[in-house]
Formats: sequence, structure tokens, C-alpha cells
Amino acid sequence: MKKYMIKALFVGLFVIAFNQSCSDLDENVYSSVKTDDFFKNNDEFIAALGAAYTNLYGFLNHGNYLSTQEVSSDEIMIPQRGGDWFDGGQWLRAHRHEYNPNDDCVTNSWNFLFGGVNTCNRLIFTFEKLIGEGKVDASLARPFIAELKVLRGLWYFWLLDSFGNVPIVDRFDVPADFKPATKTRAEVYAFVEKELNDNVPLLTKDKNLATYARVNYWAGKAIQAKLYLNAGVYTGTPQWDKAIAAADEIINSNNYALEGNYFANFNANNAASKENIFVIPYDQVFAGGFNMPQMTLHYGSQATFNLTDQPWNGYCTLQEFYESYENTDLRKGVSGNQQIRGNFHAGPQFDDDGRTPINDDSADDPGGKPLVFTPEINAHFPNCFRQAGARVGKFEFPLGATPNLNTDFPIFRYSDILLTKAEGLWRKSAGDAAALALVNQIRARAGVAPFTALTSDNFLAERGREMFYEGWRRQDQIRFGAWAKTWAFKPASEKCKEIWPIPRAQINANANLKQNPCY
Amino acid sequence: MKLRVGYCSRYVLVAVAALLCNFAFAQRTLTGKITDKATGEGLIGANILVVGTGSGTITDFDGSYTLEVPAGSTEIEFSYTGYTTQRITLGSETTLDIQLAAGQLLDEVVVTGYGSQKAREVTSSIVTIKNENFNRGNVNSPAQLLQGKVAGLSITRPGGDVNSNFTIRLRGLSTLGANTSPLVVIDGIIGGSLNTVDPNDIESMTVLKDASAASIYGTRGASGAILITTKKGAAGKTTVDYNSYVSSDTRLRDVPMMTAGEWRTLGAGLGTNKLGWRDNGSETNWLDQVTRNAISQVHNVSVGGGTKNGGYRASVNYRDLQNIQVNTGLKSLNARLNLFQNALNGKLRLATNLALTNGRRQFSPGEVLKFGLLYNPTAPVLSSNPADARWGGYFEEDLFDYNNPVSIANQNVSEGDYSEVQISFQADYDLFKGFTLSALYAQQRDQNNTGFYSNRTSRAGGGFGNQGNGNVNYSKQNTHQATFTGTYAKDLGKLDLKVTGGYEYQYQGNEGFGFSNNRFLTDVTGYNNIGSGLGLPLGLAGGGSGKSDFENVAVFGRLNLNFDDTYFMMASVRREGNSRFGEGNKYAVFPGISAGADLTKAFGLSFVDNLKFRLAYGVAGNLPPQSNLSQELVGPGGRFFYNGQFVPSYGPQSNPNPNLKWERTADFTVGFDFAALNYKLNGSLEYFNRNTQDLLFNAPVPVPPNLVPNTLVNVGELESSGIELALNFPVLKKDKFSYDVNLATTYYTTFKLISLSNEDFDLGKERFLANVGSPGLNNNNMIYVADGQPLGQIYGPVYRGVAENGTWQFEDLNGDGKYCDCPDDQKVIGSGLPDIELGFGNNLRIGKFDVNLFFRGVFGHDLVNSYRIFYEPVNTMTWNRVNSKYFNPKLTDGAKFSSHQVENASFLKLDNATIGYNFDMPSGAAVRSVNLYVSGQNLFVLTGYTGSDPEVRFQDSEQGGSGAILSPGIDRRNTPFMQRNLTLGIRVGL
Repeated sequence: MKKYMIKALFVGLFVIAFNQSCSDLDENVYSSVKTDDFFKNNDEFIAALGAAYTNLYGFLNHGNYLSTQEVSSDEIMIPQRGGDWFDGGQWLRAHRHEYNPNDDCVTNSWNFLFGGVNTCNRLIFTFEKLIGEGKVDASLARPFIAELKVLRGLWYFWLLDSFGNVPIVDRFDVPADFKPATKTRAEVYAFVEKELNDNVPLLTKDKNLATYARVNYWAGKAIQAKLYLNAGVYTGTPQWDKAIAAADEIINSNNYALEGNYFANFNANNAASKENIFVIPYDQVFAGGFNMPQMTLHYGSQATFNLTDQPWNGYCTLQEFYESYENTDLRKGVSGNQQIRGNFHAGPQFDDDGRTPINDDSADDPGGKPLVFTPEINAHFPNCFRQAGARVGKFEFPLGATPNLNTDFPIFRYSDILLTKAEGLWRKSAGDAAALALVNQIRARAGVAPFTALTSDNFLAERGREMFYEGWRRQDQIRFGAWAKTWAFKPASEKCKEIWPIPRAQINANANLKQNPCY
Repeated sequence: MKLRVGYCSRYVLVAVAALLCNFAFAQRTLTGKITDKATGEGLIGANILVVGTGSGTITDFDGSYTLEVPAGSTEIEFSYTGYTTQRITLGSETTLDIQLAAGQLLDEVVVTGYGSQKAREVTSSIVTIKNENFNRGNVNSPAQLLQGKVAGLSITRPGGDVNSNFTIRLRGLSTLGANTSPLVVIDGIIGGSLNTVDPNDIESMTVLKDASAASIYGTRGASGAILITTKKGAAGKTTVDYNSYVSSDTRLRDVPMMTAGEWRTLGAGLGTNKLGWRDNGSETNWLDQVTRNAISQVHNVSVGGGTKNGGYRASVNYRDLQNIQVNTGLKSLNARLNLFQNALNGKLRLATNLALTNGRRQFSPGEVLKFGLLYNPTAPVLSSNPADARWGGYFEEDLFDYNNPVSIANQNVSEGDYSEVQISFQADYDLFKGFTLSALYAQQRDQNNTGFYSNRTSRAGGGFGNQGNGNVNYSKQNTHQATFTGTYAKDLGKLDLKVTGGYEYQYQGNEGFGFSNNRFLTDVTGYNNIGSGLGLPLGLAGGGSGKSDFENVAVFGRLNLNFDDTYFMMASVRREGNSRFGEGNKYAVFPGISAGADLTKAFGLSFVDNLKFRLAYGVAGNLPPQSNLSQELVGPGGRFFYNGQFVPSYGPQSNPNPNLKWERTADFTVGFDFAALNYKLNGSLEYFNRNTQDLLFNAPVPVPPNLVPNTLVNVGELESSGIELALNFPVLKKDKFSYDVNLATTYYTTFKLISLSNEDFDLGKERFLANVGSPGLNNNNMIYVADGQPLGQIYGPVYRGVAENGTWQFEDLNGDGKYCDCPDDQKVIGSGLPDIELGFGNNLRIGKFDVNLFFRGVFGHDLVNSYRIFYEPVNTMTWNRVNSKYFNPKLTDGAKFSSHQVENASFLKLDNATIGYNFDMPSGAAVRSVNLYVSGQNLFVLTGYTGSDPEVRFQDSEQGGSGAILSPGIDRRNTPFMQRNLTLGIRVGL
């Protein structure tokens, strides 16, 4: 009897076992949400829209888009400081306009920009699908779609500016073997222009808390103003009138005004700036990525601002650029006084008390132990002094700052719009009085004497001083024809180096991409 | 799937009850001598067992024995390793001399997956290493037992950190994105954790090298399998064994850094620009400050015994292992209970295994050893400067990537507890003649807690900048397995047939939770009150959790044929499904087939005792490394500013790949097994070729149209091949003296990436990997991977010397008249993978002394010496300089990677040397045996490598995923040092 029970038990177990073998093996998901389970309410809908904006936080990462822009201009360099910062020579090459398609900074920039484009495409596709399925109120979703198309226009404006000839990807539902082909810079320009013309008018003209750090009508107009300002570079046909018109619309809205204090726009708490039109709302807690102190300050500067993390001693400005500011220029700052805000930290550096000198323990610089940021830079490589170069001080480094500053980074700023209008007028007529007045408005705020006339040189220099480290210098130098020229540690460069190489990894992956000329 | 636990636990009760039954017998005495049939020499240490009782003994040094035979016993069994066992029915005799014949080797039972075979029948590539042939001495992980013993099996752990795992590779590389280590199966428990088995408790380890054997494990067999059989209680009287050792580890082969004197001399020779060189006025040997002569102790007690119908073995292991790095090490306590009981006249066999492990690890809390090498030798440990109170009184300087190593070691703590439970119940039942049903249920639970804290005054670890910095992490894993098999064996005259069929279900769940915080008021509570920091309310800290699981189901079958002990065949197939795969690709089929012929029998050869030719082909698979990869998922991204406040954003987490499927490794093996000289010389020679397709690879994909720039895809093809030779030879066997050698060697002929493309994914022809790193050498890769080329290619500029002005001179490879920092002027400058691996064991017995010398060598691989890249040029003298034979004071250029730092790292070392003494125990004494031994590891190392450990680096420790696997050959700055170990041990048997 017992024997039969055991037999029965075994046979029973086998029956159970082989029944299980037909399991459909559906996978459980615990820590994420399956797409089908999302978009159940408006909050989730808005959270999805957020992904289009969080992409922007990478803008200021070291080695990303802004780094590549800045280092290749005449306002920033990352010299090789002995064993530090060689990094395969990419920063030396970027400064000399000898970009290599393998360079991480080029690859990162491409991935960053197309990542932004792609998120917009995905969300536009998703939102349209949800409208079609009746899962979302069309009146809520339609403005979002227009907003996303303008934001995509901004990403494409950057691609147009930096890589020039890129594929146009304006949809998400592409086949698996989708390999978009390179379009000419003129085609990309036409695409951006049309997208903005079609969609900017659909955006809200409200300028309030609800539209802060979002693409509203005025941010759209700012993109248009900057697109038209550079139309001559992109297509060969300038569009000064259109640039002026877009700028005028912003000016005449009376939504924006120059701040009395230039640095009100760059303080840790700058959300109330009357001047900032569109910002990336960096935040110590919620939106990290703005680690300017690490990127620019010396190792020993940690004590100046009681930083939680040690700086890396990298980015500095060129002596000529530093000295392009008059000493009375309020934007320049005061050498050796870090308590007074300025675009630069230069001269002797002190503890947080502002008195106790900071020691550079390596003491390998001719100046010896005290940490002094010298505007002069002895060499680009291999042995640039560790204390060489004035550092970026434009954005407030509060005491105890973490690698995530609170400052909202301005992408578009009212003074840039004023200068855009001024440039349009001046380009059309070199003696335009209104243009001169606009530029002098900016100079007056900086506490420097007005220009008596505008020249190509003083206009470019003024734009440089005003817009330092806001990501426009490369574009300005190209537009003013100064890009190919020689400056410190940079030989004359070919005109074709105005745009960057398409990353090697991308060309390897997509045979339809064409490498830019001279790479 | 749920099993009724009640049914299982009843077996435990039965089994436990069996322990309580021991029977006593009246006795008489039997004496005799056991000799080798061929030579007539006495066999030392042969086993004599009274069948059906617990009584037994072993022969002494001339082969003689004395046995107490209980009254009523009728059968005696005589056995000796490598010889055919004999059973004699006892009459009334009091002396019994026995001659045993060699050759039993071929009748030994070899464990295969879900069953066993006789050695002579094995036609695939299977190697078993038994207890008596394991590595000896200071062994703290099961992997160490096999190191160097099995041709084709690489087991490496650069440096001696007891908390880091061994990298195990079988026959090279068979995957890029999934598990590269062989599947571990402990007494049938699939994917068992090596932590749950103490080396003392292992009876044998079987390595299934080729896919024809491992395909029975289907999805996880692609990198081979290691089957661990734990020790069981044996019929016979109760035995008690106590093994213990103390050992001492010391630093070996320091990276040569400058002493304070050399540093000062160097500084005096510098010009006005001292390049950061400074004399801090003291003299400190930093390595001595952060390392120690590490003393470890290990104790193992086991009790085993049984009767004809049951047995038990209980074992407790305690390990207190110190690392040479101060404040780091491991303490663990492991207990294992194995029980078996036979019932219904042996038709029903029940077994249960239970293993519990608790351990506490103290990890290195930061880059202690790195800065132990690099800190200025003229700097003091402590500072008298009152301002340095902010550093807790330690000497510190405000330099980048420069921290006092003693401060790191003393002001930071990183530690963790783990506990593992493994339990299994097995029942085998002979339903009718030749047909056996088996059921196995097993469960394994692993828990891991770790904590880290950096003091408010610690410059490293984030303590100073964040006013105290800590985190805690908890994770647990829970695995269930149920296996049912049926085996039918039939003797059809000359043909023996065996059929096995089975079903297996496995579930694994993983959960984790972690929390970090900072801004602590006091260091006293460390990480133990993680909520007390202010970082959390300030938004500077946070926590997270996650959970995932998978299910795996399989049906499998196997057919074994043996025709007249001459022709052999094995064929198996496993159909397996796993929830990690995409819809439509859940299931896959893995076949294996092998066949062999004993040529001595087939052709009547007589010059050898046995010569078996075999061929094998099989396909095995590999699982994706994590769950949910085939799904389109939405998860939280950053926060975004909406209507005046930050709200969470949700976005895609990865590119969904609904086509995700099994990686398939096909393996072809052809080989010979042979035995000659009266079975004394035996071994095998084989050639393997292993090809993996549909590689699971986290591939970079074009950003349009993909969501994120990487997707886990099945793409490409990988190939490895080689020749393996294993030999055992007793050179000499005399009464008082014996000497035998064994050799396991592998010659790798191919390690090749055939392609990383298919119809859907064109991932390009080449890629550069393995960034040199900070400071100053980012965007600077060392490894080149390209379709159709070998793996492990180290790539860079070719060093040509140093110019008059102190700058690097590299070869202008493209002939354009100047060197450029670009691929045009770079080429392959080394290979990170070896050509030849060799293990050579020598066992001597001289009287009562045992001597084991085990040599291990690896040849043909290069290592990138990272310390030399950064800290050799006389430039940026923040850190001490590497003062090897390559040091050149004229080189004042910045650090650059080139062929100059790629060194040949071939080595031969005396991996282990042991001398043991066996005390002569009088027959019938309370103590059965006493063995005392001393053992040394790394007593000598022959290599030209100037870094610390020339061991192969199969993976790059500074990358994750496939990047790590594709970048062998880099000796990074975080590798622990090589150690020399001396062990004094004792084994006592009661």
C-alpha cells in the first residue's frame, strides 16, 4: 500500500511538472512602468512632457555641447597642465580647430543634441497617438505638441549651427532599419525656419511662473531672432530684417527689461530676472548638472567657497579676452577680490574669509605657494602652469556649493535680443544711430563709456564681454569673420572647420551619413 | 509553482531519525596484505570495508592491514584509487591477502548533469578533480581548489584581496554581454553560490568543458559548468575530522616607488620649475603604514558516519581572514548538514542538504593601496599644524586626486554582512527494474547588507566636503528550483542503454534598497543611523529601491549508449524558456551529441591499455544579464520645472528589444583519452573550437531613431579554439618513496571576434575601448576591437624613445612626417590574452612525508602597467614616481600611454608548495590519523613584469558590461598587490 502511495506521489508530481512546462513566461515588471500602463491621467501626461526638458540638463556637463562650443572659441581654453587635462589631446585640438571625428566632445555633443530631438519626436508621436485614441483631451495636448515642435526647433538650431549638415528626423515611427541621410545645411535651415513659423504662433504669450523654463511664444521668437541673425552663415543669404522683426516683437512686448545689475541674471537665485527669456532651471536638489566650480577653479579653491567637492582646475579664459574688458567694466570683476562678483576670478585667491591666502601645495608655479590666477598663460601644452588663466566667475558660487549650482542658466537673454536687433540695424546701415544706442545701453549698465561708432571689431568684442560663457562666442566669431583668424595658441584655421565633424561612431553605424568637408 | 513543504519536511524527519540508529556487533580480527597485481608491491592506504557495517580500515606502509570484523558479517570490500574494487565473501579465515589490478580508473563514476556515467563511457569533455587532488594549503574559496588543475579552465584573482571574487573562464570567452563564468551546480542546485560551500566540504568538482556536456544545462551552459559534489557520510564507524590552519600573508613584488632619499635626490636635480615636487620634511614608508603581516585562521570540524541504509555528515567551518591592507578582511561561519536515508529495501533513497553561511566583510574604504604607493615619501602621517585639525590631525595637501592613505584607512569604513541559506531535498525511487524517478526541490536565499561612512574630517570619501557621508544598502535574492527526472537503464546484451528525461522549474527574485545621507552632527553613529543626517531634508541625499525576477522552465532528455564497452554515444536535448526574453523568442532548443570508440578494443591495439577517440558537438545558451530588457518601459528621469515647482519627469528607460533571444554557443571537440603502462600513465589530448552567435551585446545604436544610444541586442559572432593536454604519470612508486606528476596545459589558438554585425545591426567594423582615465588621460583608449580580428588587442602609439628636450618620441606610422595623437599613428602593441596556460603538479612521498609542489605558468599575455603611465615621467610631481628599470629622469613630458607601458607579463610561479607529515597511529587508537603540514604560496615568481601581479586581467575593472569583457590586459591602479602566504596546518581524524 505504502509503495503505491509513493508511486502515486511521484507520478502526480510529474503530471504537475509537465503541466508547468507550458508556462507563457510573461515577465513581471516591478520597478518601472510598462508603457501600456502609463498615461492614465494628466499628471502622468505632464511628467512625460518633462522628459523633453530634462534632456537640457546635460547642456553644461563637462565634455558636452557647451564645453565644445566654448573651448573652440577665443574666450575659453583648457590647457594641458602637466599631467592634467591632456585627455587624448581633444581640448588642445578643439581650441586649434583640429577636431577629430573620434573625439568624445564631438560624439557627446551629437548624442546630446539628437537625444533632445528624439525625445521631442517620441513625445509628439505619443501625444498624437493618445489624442487619436481619445485617451487625452486634445485641447490639453495640442499646445504641448506645438511646444515640443518649437523645442525640437531649438535642438535643430543647435545642430544646424554646430554640425551643419545633419539628417532631419521629424518622426518617431520609423522602420527598424531607418538610416536617415545627411541633409545640407540649407535644407536643415529651411526645416527649422518652417517649424518655427508654423508652431511659434501656437504658443502661449503668457510670461509667468507657469511658462518659466518652458518654451513659450517669446522663447520661440528668440530662437527665430538668433536663427535669422545667422542666416547668412547658414545659407549665404542674410535675413537681417527678419532678425530685427523677431527681436522687435520681444522688445515691444515689454515683458522683458535689462536688470540694473548684470549679475542679477547669474545669481544662485535668478528666477526673478527680468532679462532671462528662456533658462535651464538648474537646481541643487532637483535639477543637477551645473558644476561650473569644478570645471574652472583650482584644487585649492575648494576653501574659497567651502565647496563640497574638489575642483578640477580646467577651464580658463585667454589673456587677450580677459584684457578686452576695461578695468572699470563692472562685468570684469576685481582681481584678488572674490567677494565682488565678476565674469572672472583672477589674482590672489583667499579663504572664505576673503583674507587668508590659499596655498597651492604643489607650488610648481613660478609664483610659489600662494594661489594666484594669472591672466597670462605660459603655454597651451604640455606644461601650462596650474595657476595660469583667469577663471570663470560669472555664475554665483555660494558658500558650501555642491557640484549642482542653483543658478538657472540663460539660453536666451534680453540683452542678447537688444544686441541682435542692433546688429541687424548696423549690418543694414553701418551708421545706424539706433543700433549704436542699443549697444551703448548695454555698455552703460556695465559702467563703461559709450561707443561713438560701431565697427566690426568693437561690436564683436562687446558681444563677447556681455555674452561671456553663455555659449554664443563661436557663433559670433564665425558671423563676424573672426573664426579662421589666429589668436592665442591657435593658428589660422580653414573655413570648413566652422562646422564639426560627424562622429566616427555615427558614420560607422549609418552609411547614409556623409562626413563634413575637410574631416 | 508551489510545492507542499510538508511532504518534504517529512523526509527530513526520516533522515534525522536514521542518524539515531547505530548498531553494535561482536568482533573477530582479520589480517592480510594488499598488493599490486602487476608489480607485487604493497598498496599503501588501500581501503578495507566490512560491507553493510560501519567498520573499516586502511592498509599501512607495506600494504598490511588488521581489521576488526563484527560477528555475522560476510562480505569485505577492498578498494584503492585507480584499481578495480574487489568484494570477497568471508569464510572462517583470519588472514586474507588480496591482489588488486589497476584499471579501475575507467570504471570510476563521473558526475554529469542530472546523472552519472562510467569514465570509460564519457565521450564529451568532462574533467573531475577529486578531493585528494585539490590544491592544498591556504584555500578559502572553492574556485582555488581547481586553479591550474583543469586544462582550459582559467581561474584568476589578481592580488590577494579575500573579498574579491575569482574570475573563472572556461575555454576563453563565449559571451560579451552575459555571464562569462561557468554555471555552478552544487549537488544539483543550479546557479548555487560558491559562498555557500566551504572548500573543506567538497568531495569532488566536475567541469563540463564542452557544450555537448553542458547543453543539458541549456540556457546557462554556454560558459561551461562546474558541478560540485559535497562530502556525504559514509557507511562505517563515525568519523570526526578536525582541520585547522593559521597563515600569514605578506606583500610580494611591490610596485617599485621612490624612497624618501631617492625622491630628494630627484628633486635636487630638477631645475627652477620643480613640477610640483616638494619635500615635506619627513620620511614615511606609506605602504608599511597601510599594510600588515596578515594573520588568518581557519577551523573546520566535521562529523560523519552511517549505515548501509543511511548516513550523515555535519560540518562547521570558521574563517577569520585578514587582508594585508589594514582594517580589511573577512570572517565567516559556515555550517553544512548532509543526510541520506534509504528505505523500502533501498528502492527509495532520500537525501537532504542544508547549508548556512554568515559572513562579515570589511572592504577597502577607498584608494588606500593606490595612495600607499603614490603619497609623497617625505610627507608625515600626522600633522602638527593646528589647521589640519580639519583633517582629523592627518597630514593633507590641497592637491587633486591626492589623499593621505592612512587617513582613508582610519577615517572611512566600508563593510557588510552576508548570510546565505541553501536547502535541498532529493528523493529517488526505483519504480521498476531499471527505472528510477527522482525529485529535487531546492531553495537558496542570499542577503547582503553593506554600509559606508566617511568621517567629517576625512578628505577622501566625501566626509569632509559633506560634513560626514554615509550610505547603507540591502539586497536579497531568493531562488527556488524543482527538478524531476526519470532514468531508465537497460542491458540489451552487448548494448547498454540509458535514457534520462526531466523537467525543471526555477524562479529567482531580487530586491534591493539603498539610502545615502550626509551632513551628520557626529561621526559616532557612523552609517548606523542613516536618517540622522541633514542631507536628506536638504535634498542632498536620497534613497532608492528596486525589484525584479525571472522564471525558467525546461524539459530535457538524454540517451546514453554503450556497445560492448567499445563504442559509446551520448545525445541530449533541452528545450528551455525564460521570461527575460522577448515575446516569441521565449523558448529555445539546445542539443548536444558526442560519440567515441575505444580503439584498443575496436582494433585490438596492445601498445596502450586504453585509447579512446571521441567527437562532440553541442549548443548551449546564455541568459541576458538582467530582467526587463525586452520591454518598453517608462521610468522616472530628472525633475522638471512645471508651474513653479519641480515635478518628476517620466521617460523611456531603454530601447525595447522585443526580439531579444538566446545567445547560442556551439562547441566542437575532438580528442583522445589514453592510458598506458598498466594504466599508470593516463591523460587526454583534445582540440576545441567554440563559436558563439547572436551575442548578447549592449550595442551603441544610432540615436535617431533609437531612444537611448545603447540597446541590448543579439548580434555578432565570437570564436575561440585551442588545444588542451592533461597528463598524470606516476614516475616512481616504491615502498618508502613515490613520485608522481600531473600536467594540465592549454594552448589557445584563436580568440577572435568574427563580427559585431548582422542584418539588423551594423555596429561598424571597429571600436576603441578602455579609457586611460584621469588625471589628464581621458578620451584616450587602449583597446581596439574589430571584426575579424583577435580579442584583447592593446592599441596605441609605438614608443621610440625620449627626445633631447625630454619629450616623447613616437613612431610616425602613416609616414606623413609627424606623429599625431590619432588612430593613423597607432597600432596593435600587445595582447591582453594568453597563449598558453600551464599547471604542473608534483607529488612526492618520502616515508611519512608528503611533498606537493604545484607550479603554474601563463605565457604570451601583456599587461598595461597603469602606474607607469601616470607616475613615471618627471612631470606633475604631485605623486611619488615609479622607479622601475624603465624610469628615465630625462623624460619630462606629460604622461602619455604608448607601447612603453605595455609589458610582457608571462610568468611561472611556484603557486603552492606543501610539506606534510603523517604521524603513525597505532591500530585501534582513539586518534585515526594526524597530518601536520606547512604550505607556501607564491614562494617564487618568475616574470619580467614590473607591476605587482602578472596574472592575466580577463576583464577591465574600470568598465562595466561588455566593455569590461572586451578589454583584457589592463593592470589598473586599484588592483590589490600580490601576496606571499605561509600556512601551518593540522588535520586530525578521530
